[in-house]
Amino acid sequence: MSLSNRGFGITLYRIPRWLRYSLATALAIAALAVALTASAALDSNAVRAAVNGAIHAQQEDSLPPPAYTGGPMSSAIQASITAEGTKDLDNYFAGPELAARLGTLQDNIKQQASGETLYLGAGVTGIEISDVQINGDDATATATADVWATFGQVQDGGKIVTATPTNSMNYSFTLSRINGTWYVVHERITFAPGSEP
Amino acid sequence: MNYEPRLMDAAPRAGNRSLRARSLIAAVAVSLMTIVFISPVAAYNPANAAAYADLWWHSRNSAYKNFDPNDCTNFVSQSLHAGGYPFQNDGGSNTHYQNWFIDSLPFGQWNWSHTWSVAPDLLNFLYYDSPGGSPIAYKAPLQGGTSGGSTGDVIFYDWSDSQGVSHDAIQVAYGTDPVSGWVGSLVDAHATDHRHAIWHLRPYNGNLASITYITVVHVSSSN
Repeated sequence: MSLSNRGFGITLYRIPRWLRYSLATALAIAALAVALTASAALDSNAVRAAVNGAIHAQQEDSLPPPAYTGGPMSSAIQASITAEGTKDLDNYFAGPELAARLGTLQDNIKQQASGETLYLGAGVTGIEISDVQINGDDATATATADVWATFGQVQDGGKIVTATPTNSMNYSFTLSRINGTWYVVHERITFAPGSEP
Repeated sequence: MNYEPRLMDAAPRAGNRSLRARSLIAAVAVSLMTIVFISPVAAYNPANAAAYADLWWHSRNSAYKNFDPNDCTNFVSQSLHAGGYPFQNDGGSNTHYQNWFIDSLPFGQWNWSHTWSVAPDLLNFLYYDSPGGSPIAYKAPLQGGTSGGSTGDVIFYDWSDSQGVSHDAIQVAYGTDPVSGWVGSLVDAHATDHRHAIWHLRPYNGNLASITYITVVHVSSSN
């Protein structure tokens, strides 16, 4: 005689039907919640990755190839910066914001073209992404970061005087999921208070 | 009854003329001294504006309200006024684009026009005031050594942060920026205080994600 037959065990057929249905429903809801939570986490990570990539791309894509050491910038070098920058920006931006980013890239190239001001390096440190909000295929996020760049002024006799400013920036992003990938479709960048030039 | 002093009666006619002439000269001298020492000079003197900016670039003149942390336009306005740019419609509407003034009131209060303390409003004021100032250069994105302006001119900055023009500085010299070592037109500024900084502030701006649009406004010496 099994314990269950003696009434000490719990077997499914002894659980009232209404309770079995309730348990099954609860389990299904829990599983769905776990799946949704995992999906939201994945979405949040994807949004964060897009924001992180966008901040790096827009800060670092204006640099000339290492072979360029100053003087009037040839059209070939300008085309090279344009091609590489466009490729990178295209990974993180879409719509009018992509057009705006490409415009800024061109402005940065023009600024170097005369050879008076050299772009010698650039980067981002301390990116902090916060307040990620996802609603379907739309999302918003805010971020802070420290950006730096090394510039050179070519002075008389070819002497290059460098400067490496660092500024703390505040960002706010609007993103859209397009064909499964998150892109920045609008961005606002401001200097953190006290970090203006 | 005649109350005229006897001395006048006794004075010869030629002496009267001399006295009147001397009085007139004295009155003119006092008026000139008043203009020179009490109110700003009648015409805008860029060198005086630059000298004031160099004196107060890193401190705050208690004769004026302190607008920190956004003191840039207040500082430029003070410099313009020290250079002789006169108040316009003093005490009038605070928001009218043709008024430019600041007044000290009792109990530490101040009355000022927005054109005195807000960068785009000062730009607007200089543009519309007569003779005021005239934009002589829009710089974006080219940033060479010279601004295109001269000492005493005002330089306005738009950081492309959706706020439009939000900063300004006063051009004070041409030479070497003592901090960056860059050579060119130099400015003094408040907010982030600068003395003789290169006019486009590139050595102080590491953000490559935004282009700085710059407007150089030449301030007429006829003001």
